[in-house]
Amino acid sequence: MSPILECRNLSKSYGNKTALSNINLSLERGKIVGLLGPNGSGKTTLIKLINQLLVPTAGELLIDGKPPSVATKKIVSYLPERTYLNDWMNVTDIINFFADFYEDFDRSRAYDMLSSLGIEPGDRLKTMSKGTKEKVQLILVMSRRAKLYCLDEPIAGVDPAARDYILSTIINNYAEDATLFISTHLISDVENILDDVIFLQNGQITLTSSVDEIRYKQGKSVDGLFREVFRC
Amino acid sequence: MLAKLFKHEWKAVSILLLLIHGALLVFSFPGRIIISMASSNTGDYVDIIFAFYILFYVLGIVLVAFMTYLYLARRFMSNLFSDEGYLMHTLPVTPAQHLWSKFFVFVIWMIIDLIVIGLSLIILFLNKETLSELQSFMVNLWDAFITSFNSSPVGNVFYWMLSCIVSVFYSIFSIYFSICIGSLCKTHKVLGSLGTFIGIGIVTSIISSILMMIFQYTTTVTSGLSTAVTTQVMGDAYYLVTLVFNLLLALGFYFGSHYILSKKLNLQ
Repeated sequence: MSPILECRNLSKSYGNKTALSNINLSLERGKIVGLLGPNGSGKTTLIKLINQLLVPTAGELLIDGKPPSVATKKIVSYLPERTYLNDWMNVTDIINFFADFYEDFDRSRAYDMLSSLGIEPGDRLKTMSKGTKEKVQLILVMSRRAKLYCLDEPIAGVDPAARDYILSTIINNYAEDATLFISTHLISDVENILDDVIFLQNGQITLTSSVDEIRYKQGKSVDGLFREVFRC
Repeated sequence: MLAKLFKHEWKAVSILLLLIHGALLVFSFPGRIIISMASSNTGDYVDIIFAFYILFYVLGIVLVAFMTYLYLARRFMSNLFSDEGYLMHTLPVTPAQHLWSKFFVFVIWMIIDLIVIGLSLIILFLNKETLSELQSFMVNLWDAFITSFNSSPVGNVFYWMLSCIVSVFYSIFSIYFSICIGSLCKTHKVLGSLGTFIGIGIVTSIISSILMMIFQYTTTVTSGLSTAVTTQVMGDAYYLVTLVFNLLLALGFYFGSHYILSKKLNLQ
């Protein structure tokens, strides 16, 4: 089966500053892959390129064999690191919005997740805390039956108690043949759900490995290896 | 997808715009009473109220029209270039669909704006006397309209209709293009947009002045009974060149905006 995501010699520069340099990457289907690296390593740039929020300076990026386009946006579910919801909307409005544009959006799944978190469909986003808005956004993203989920720092803005809920939401709501691409620097929190990891440093991939390989062959946790590799 | 974008765009902007246009209409009703009071009995007290009312009314009309433009321009900016852009640009829609959905909503609100201002003026001023004056004004306006273009009345109507459509395209896409250019700035994006918009205004007025100088010619016309007057008039070619010039600029603004949205998106 062809990979869900392929990057060939992918580079991105902002003026003189190189954010990503010559990235070669292939993501298999049905895996949970962690994109790990310190702040400013290029994680968000890579995720923005996948979602066509940026255009590569050089190289090629293919999603399900196609370059980023309307067709790929239909199969990629993206959670950005910031809140993009309109404050004047209530939860039902935003669910209708997602259902209108994404054919793979599952309303009943969204309402189930909302009720388990005690969020009322009539609640206005204006009245919600930042953490609750982030949960709503995660629910919207995970209510799609997408082929590739790109989650940029999904747990960075919420308290540790909510992190467990978010991670279990992620695991319980993606199809087996779908791929989860999670960017984070909070390794210990996500380590247990990852199949593979990619270490990114100064815009370059320094390691691509399965979590089992790190644990059994190197005898380290991913968090331990990360601290070793990225020691300041 | 265009229809869906239009629906959500309409819903997002219309609450506030309906409110301010509704407020203008409501504000017109007491004006009719004040005007009838002022015309039937004169006195310091009524005159002062009348003067203040007219002052606020004119300010209100200017404010409503200005706010409509400003609000829709701001909506374009915040929806596509702020945090909301992270959602809008990851929807399975094309940059062209984004532009056209916002454009159609803008056009409809420009028309509603004109209708509401017209209705408000009717509420304020329309009675038997003003109706007959309005009729003669419309006749004069029509005469001026069909004779302004030198060749034929049919050509005139066609020209003005085309000119109207082009100017709507030109004005809206010049706003969108300015905002797109502003979005490319690293900081001070609003200032960048405003600077571009003003810059476009200055450059186009210089070019129009040059065109006027090229196509202007002197002629002698007879006005009134027998007075011959030498005057500067514009040839038909001037109107056609201006129309084509504005059309080319409008197309340039559209394709420029489209290029920036698809190839140079720079969300912070």
